[in-house]
Amino acid sequence: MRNYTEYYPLPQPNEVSKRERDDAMGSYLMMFASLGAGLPLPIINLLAAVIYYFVNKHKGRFVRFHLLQSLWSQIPVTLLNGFMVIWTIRNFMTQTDFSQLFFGLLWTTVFINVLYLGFSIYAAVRANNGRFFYFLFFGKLAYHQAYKVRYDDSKNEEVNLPPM
Amino acid sequence: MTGKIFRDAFLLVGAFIIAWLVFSYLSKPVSIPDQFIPDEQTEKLADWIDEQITRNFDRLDDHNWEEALGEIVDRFATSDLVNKVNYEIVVLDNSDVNAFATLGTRIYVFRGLLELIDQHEEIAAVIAHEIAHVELNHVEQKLITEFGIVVLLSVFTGGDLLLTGEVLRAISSGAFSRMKEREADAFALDLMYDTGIDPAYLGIVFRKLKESEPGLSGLNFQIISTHPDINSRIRNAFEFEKSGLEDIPFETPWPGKSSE
Repeated sequence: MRNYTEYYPLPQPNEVSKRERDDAMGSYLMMFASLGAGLPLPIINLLAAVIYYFVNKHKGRFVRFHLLQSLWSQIPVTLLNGFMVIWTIRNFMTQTDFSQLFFGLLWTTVFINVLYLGFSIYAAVRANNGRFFYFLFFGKLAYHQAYKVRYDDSKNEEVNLPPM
Repeated sequence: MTGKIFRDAFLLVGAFIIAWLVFSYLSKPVSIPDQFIPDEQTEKLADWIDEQITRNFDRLDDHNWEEALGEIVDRFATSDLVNKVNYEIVVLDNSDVNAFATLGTRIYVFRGLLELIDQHEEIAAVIAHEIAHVELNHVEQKLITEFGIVVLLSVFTGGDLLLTGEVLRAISSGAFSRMKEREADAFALDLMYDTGIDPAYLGIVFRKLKESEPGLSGLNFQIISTHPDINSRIRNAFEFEKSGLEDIPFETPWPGKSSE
């Protein structure tokens, strides 16, 4: 019976090169670099993150994990911010009152942005130290995508097996 | 792992919805004020606009028109629907088919429009529509939406010429949103009914403007000549429930051409 783990083993901090640490940290810092250009419609942040992902995704699993975690977590935050901008403008344009639900979502968006900012900074520091930090949902998703052993990865490889 | 990912996704969505509901519960709704600019300031701005308009157009000083339009304004002033007083109709000596309201209570009507109209009731419909834009603060809202209150006040207190031109263009173009035009129509129909003028005249005048040559320079009526919605607006005017309408004729002679 072939016995191999479903996921590739995680690298330990001493196994991650300086270059990988920098690239991984960069995936979180892209947010700040493009923040100014992205306002008031923050879609530019997302574009920058997507471009950064495609440029760096071949630089190893450690980098890819952080790229994916940053990208996936940025998508809902960006969409939420964009939605709030549109809702606000629409209300002004149509002279519609700002409802409780509007303010509820506004404060939720602010709260999420603060969390996102804090977690991103922390994750960037961890990445720079060659370590992992898993966001709720996005961390597992990114780990699954970056570290899962896929059939395509292993079918052409000779696998060393322990003695039976 | 996939199961855990889904579990986390549900957790995240659940937390989001709960946060939204909790924050909504703790928040209070905020109404957009109908009026951002105080009355006193509005009058000053209205005078400034009048100065700019009369710099570009000559006024048509004709006693007969003054009398006829004055009677219409006086009639509307008797309605409880009208809160602002002292409406003044300024006739501009220009062949454009146009009319527009500005800040304050002045309504500008072009000679070109008067030449197209056959009777008091038709111009009364146009004026009722413009009064509606004033009463519902559409002009102020539009200017604030387009320029922002800070820019607006800087223009009125001696800003640059380019911006001044833009503000005047925005005022005279009268291109309100579809919703605001409908609001103004509804208000005008009520006002006409309330003051003994058959609301169907709003439909008649819209149809006349729609069918007239593209000599319509647009401005306030651009919305009529280009708006796909115009047919339903005409229909609304004709279908307005007017049972019990007390049709009160105007007394002053009609100074323009007559269809009779």
